[in-house]
Amino acid sequence: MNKEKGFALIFVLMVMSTMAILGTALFSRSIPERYLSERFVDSTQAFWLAEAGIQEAGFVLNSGDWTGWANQGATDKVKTASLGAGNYTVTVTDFSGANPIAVSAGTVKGVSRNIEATMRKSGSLFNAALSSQTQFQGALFNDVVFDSYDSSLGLYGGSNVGSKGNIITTAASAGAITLIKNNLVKGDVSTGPGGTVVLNDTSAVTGNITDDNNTTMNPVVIPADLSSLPSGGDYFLNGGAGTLVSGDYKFSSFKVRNGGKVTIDGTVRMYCASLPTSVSFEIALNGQVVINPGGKLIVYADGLFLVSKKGIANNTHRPKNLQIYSTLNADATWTMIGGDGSTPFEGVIYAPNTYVETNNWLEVYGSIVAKRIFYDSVYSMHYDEDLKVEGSTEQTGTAGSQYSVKQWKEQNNPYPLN
Amino acid sequence: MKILLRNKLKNGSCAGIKQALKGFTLFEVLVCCTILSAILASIFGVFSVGNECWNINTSVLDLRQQARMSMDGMSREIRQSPPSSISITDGGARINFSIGAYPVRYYLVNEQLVREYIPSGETEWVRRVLGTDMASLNFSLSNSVVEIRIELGNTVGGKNISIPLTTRLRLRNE
Repeated sequence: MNKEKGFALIFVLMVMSTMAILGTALFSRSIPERYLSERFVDSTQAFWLAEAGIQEAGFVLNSGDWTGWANQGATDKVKTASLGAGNYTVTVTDFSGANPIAVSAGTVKGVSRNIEATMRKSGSLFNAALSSQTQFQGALFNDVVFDSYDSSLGLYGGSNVGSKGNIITTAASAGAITLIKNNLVKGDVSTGPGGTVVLNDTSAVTGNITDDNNTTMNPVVIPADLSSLPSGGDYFLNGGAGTLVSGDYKFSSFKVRNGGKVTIDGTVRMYCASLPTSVSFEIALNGQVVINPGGKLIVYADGLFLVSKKGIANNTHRPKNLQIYSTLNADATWTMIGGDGSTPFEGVIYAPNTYVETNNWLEVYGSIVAKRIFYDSVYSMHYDEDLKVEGSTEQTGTAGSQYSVKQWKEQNNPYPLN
Repeated sequence: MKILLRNKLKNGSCAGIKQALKGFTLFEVLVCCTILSAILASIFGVFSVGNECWNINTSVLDLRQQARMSMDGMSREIRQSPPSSISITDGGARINFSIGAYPVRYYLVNEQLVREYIPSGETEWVRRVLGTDMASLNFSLSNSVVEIRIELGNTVGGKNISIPLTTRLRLRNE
């Protein structure tokens, strides 16, 4: 039996060889898998590092604090920073221009992801459905919806309904935004730092709720060519019909009453230079202003602005074609927009230093910016996303405007497009 | 063995030669075969289970790799499309969007994830298969956030393997 020892040895060697082969195969299979997994993790981390670079570029563009950034030529800035397991290098091209371009490369263990973001300085005053500086509470009707559409694409409805019916306030109090009566905000709501949002009666917000709104409201600047016009006195149409054709007008007051109808043909700029305590602009007793297709009405008012019943019919159905600006600085209701349910308000109101009240069965399309907004007894509010386009309104944001990403794209798309 | 015999012959030990050439008894052979069969059967069983595990794990790894690559490819493109360009049809099984001027769409064809786009100046969709073994694909859009759910499936050795993967993307462009 001693002479058969070799058989056991050979058998053991065979088994060990087989197991070694299997083990080697498993090992060789796991190596590339581990490599691919690590590369995926590195790629994901690199992407977020690149995003961090874009975020930092946006922050620095807004703050103007370029500490730690190196000049690259006369118009570009560059910075490299380590973060986590990798680093990012971000270059801002034409940093003082209207549309700086930030290119950020995130790198982790040799794996890079590159993002290019074209920035823009928001030139619009109307970036939300409702924007105020004090507590917003509304609305008194049941089931009011705050949503959005894009008037450049056509009328509201069907596929032209969006979820940017944002409501923002700089108020930082508890209940800075309080919704009641099953109101639904299809968009974001934002308060000042520390402010809270209260949703009563099953009211809801579909978007984000934040407390980081610190936007400032620039004062209204009457264009010099308008303020320097000689005054045309009081415009008063008590019944009958009138027409304003393209041009600039300066009145002490503008009033349409008793079924009077004023038609706006072309682009009309109007400055109602009244005393702050007087009525600058009034449409009452079934009077009406009609903006014909192709027309535009821009009103600057120093005093009270009152619209009721048939109101202003904007037949262009573009809110940017009805712009109302208040220079008044008073903690009182300055503007009252009302209706009779037959004529919606399709326009924008900008009253940064006084109050705006909407009421009486009115559907609102556009945007309202005011020190305080009383959104009472009104149907739904539809923010026009076209108002975000720079230059869509005559007054634009300046000191308080912020850089934001206009166009974002990841370079090196893995799949071809052309 | 030959050396052993040669040594025995050199020593002149015929008894040793006889002893060295003596065969196994039938009982010894039977016992040996039985033991060997038992050992081989157990080894084969172990190898069989190992092989099955190997095949399953290989398949799982392949499916996971495919899931990651498919999700990553879709995510990169959808992330940079504006919400207004996105439409989700077929009950969430197809997404249509555009990147710049290029329309792109993703959907399943015969358990394959396909990406189609129209190149500049062309009118026909160009198709590329990004992944196979796709059991299901679902898209949803809410507040500039797209949720993508994919599930890859395969059958190995009679066992069904399923790899689900979900991601949510915040759209970067307005």
